[in-house]
Parts: sequence; structure tokens; C-alpha cells
Amino acid sequence: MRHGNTLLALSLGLALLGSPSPSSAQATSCAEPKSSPSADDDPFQPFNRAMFSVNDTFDDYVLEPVARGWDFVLPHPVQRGIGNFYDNLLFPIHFINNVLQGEIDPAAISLSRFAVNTTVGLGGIFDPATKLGVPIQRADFGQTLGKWGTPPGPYLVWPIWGSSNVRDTAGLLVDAYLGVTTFFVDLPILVGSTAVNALNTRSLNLEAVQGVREASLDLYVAARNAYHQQRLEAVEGVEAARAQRDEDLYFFEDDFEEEEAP
Amino acid sequence: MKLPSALLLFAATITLGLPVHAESPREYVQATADEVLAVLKDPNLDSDAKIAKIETIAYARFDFDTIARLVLARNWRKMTPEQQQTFIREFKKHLSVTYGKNVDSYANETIEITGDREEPRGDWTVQTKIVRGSAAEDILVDYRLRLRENQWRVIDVVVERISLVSNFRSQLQEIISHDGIDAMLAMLAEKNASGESILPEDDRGPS
Repeated sequence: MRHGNTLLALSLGLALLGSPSPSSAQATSCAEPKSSPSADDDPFQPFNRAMFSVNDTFDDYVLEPVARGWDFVLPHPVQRGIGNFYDNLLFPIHFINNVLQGEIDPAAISLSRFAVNTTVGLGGIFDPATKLGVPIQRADFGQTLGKWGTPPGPYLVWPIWGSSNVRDTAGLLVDAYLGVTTFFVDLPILVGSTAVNALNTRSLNLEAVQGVREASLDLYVAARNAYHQQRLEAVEGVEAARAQRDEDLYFFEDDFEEEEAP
Repeated sequence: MKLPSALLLFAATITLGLPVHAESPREYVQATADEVLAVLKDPNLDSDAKIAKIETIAYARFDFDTIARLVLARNWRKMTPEQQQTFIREFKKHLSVTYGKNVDSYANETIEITGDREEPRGDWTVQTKIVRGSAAEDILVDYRLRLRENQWRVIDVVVERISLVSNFRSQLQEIISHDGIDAMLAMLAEKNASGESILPEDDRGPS
């Protein structure tokens, strides 16, 4: 667990460094919609952009070519099976976090999914539970912290892993620990299997990633905004995210109307 | 709130004194989806013909004037009318070209409408799902529509919880705050020039 400790120390250090910035940003832009300061406030941008371009280069030269090979060799149902297998392995993370969030039904569903998919689904390769109308109930410790009231903190980009923030980085370390201890596997094995899963996911999303690349004017900002929006919904829930979207969408229109009316 | 949307629309048209509109937002999205899928499935069309047809559909079905204002937010007012028109033209091109490009990766996906609801200001959201079969997970896509000039048109697309208006707004804000409005317009034009549109200028519908 030496790697884990180093990462934890690093993230705590960053958390301390980053803590003064959100309040200062709030003070200067109190008229903006609520999400704008946190969504676009990015004190670690130079570091993040550097990491982002490292990841981008890695994707260009390693991940995407390998994923294309993977996609060429393995038929989609097989890729789907591999994805299912890893989703099933993540069961303890989903289960424990649902419990910690007080989401009892999703926790129970996670448990029964694990039972069904591990047996009937042949070790998790198939996903009969979803076919029975019991879809996956993803939950992670970053989300748990968020539901307990921890603010996301500044946006962070990590090598290979990609988009995160201070809170979700701490969450990731806890989830990794949960994954390791539950199955008594070594960290290198967890990292290795996560890498296979990442490759597999990349392979299943070749066109989507290409589309986003072409559509974006600033891919880094596009990724940051997308991460913020998805995490907002994961933590605050569908309704709150919807209200936030409305507020964001219409805020400036009110501005225009006030401007143009007199 | 469970009133049929057509009835609500009818009520709205009476109160606002607008002419009755035949299509509900839901029907409108369904019609668009059918139209797009028909193009994608047509064995008699080559890629370029498909892209051109899909671009035409996008030009007609998106309210680019509103989208341009929403994505530029505060920067809209800082622009001259000329810059605003340039932006609308280039952004429209950018979106349509991007949307049209993926015709060759079509793999028998279908589009399923899963719900719709009224939004503030008379806007309407239609929720859809791109069903990709057993090989891949479904993709959730919500379309927010606005009735303008007696015609529903899309003003925002939310793909898997990510609003494209919000996403483009962040990107444009970043570029404008660093390099200014002219640099942003130049960049957009450059990006469009590298992924050229298939349609001739006059087929791109009214702005």
C-alpha cells in the first residue's frame, strides 16, 4: 500500500493548497449562477493542463491504437462480457457506498445483482440481473463524501485516471482500498485489472471519444465541464441537477431581457 | 401536470393568441428521429449524400439564434452585430458538420422516446434513449425545445447528463477571456475550414 499512501499524502497536500480558492472566487462573482464559480474555478489549471496533455498524448500513441486493436480482435459481445466482469468485481465498492449513503434499496439491489451475476452470469461475464430489470447501482466514495456535505474542491487531472477533484481523489483512494481489502488482492493486480477495464471501456467508446474531440473547441475545458455536470448529478441527484441546469441555461436570458426591455 | 401535451399547447395558444400548432414537441422529436434514421438506413445513399441530408435536417431543426446567445451568455452583448452574425454562421456550421460526420459509424441503433416534460418559459424537454443493442450501453439524450415562430426547435441537447450549451459556454468563456472575441471567431472558422461542410452555402437554411 506504499503507492496509496504517497497518493493520499499528495492529495491532502493539494487539498490544503487549494482550500482558500473557492471562497475567494465566490466573493468576486456572487452575481453569477451558483454553478459557474465552482464549474469554471480552476486554481490548478497549469498542472491540470499539463496532465491532460500527457493523458492526451498517451491516448493518441498508446491507448487508442491498442484499443483499436482490441476492438478489431474482440467482438463487441466479448468486450461487453469483460466490462460486465469488472463491473461485477466492483460490487463491494458499490454496495458499501450505497450503504454509507443510506441508499438501502440500491445497496440491496447491488447485493442481489452480485449473487445473480456471479452464479447465473458465470462469474459476472453475463449480466442477467440487468435483463431482469435490475440495473447496476453505481456508487463511489467521492459521491458518498459529497452526499455527506463535502464540497468537491478544485478540479484535478491525474495521469491515466483523468478527471477528478480533491474530494473525488480522496474517494478514489478509499474505493481502491475497499477493492483491495475485500478480495485480498494486491494493489498491482487491482491496477492491472483496472487498466484492462480502462482499455476495454476505451475500445467500446472509440467513436464517442472521436466525436467529442472533433466537436470541442477546447477539449480540456470540455472535459472539465462534463465532469462537473456528471458529478453534480451523481451527488446532488437528478432533480437538483435539473434545477441547476435550468438556472444556468436561463440566467443570462433574464439578463438580456432586462437589458433589451427598457 | 398529466394533461396531454396537445391539450396544454392548445390552452397555451388560446391564451397567447398564437395559431394552433399541430405537432407536439414529442411528435416533433419522433418525426426528426424517424427522418434521421431513414437517411442512415438508406442503402442507396453514399456517405456524402447522407452527411448532406443530416446536415440539412440539423440546420432546420436547431434554433441556432437562441443557441448562439445561450452559449455566449454575457459575451453576446460585448459583440458587435457583425460579430454576432459571424458567430451564429460559424457555430451553426461547426455543430452541423460535427453531427453529420458520424454517419458511417451507424450500427443499427434505434431511438426510443422515454418521456417529456414542460420546462420554465414554455420550453419543453423530450427524453430519448439511443438503443445500441446488446453490444453497448444505451445513451440517454434529452432535447430541450423552444416554440418560436410557431415551430418547435432544439435549444439544448443533454447527452448522458451533460448539457451541450453549458459545455460550449465554458469553452467559449475560457477562450474569450484569454484571447478575446476575434481570436475565438478566427479559431472557430479555422476549425470549420479543416472539417469542411458538404452543403453549398445557400442550402443551409435561414439563420
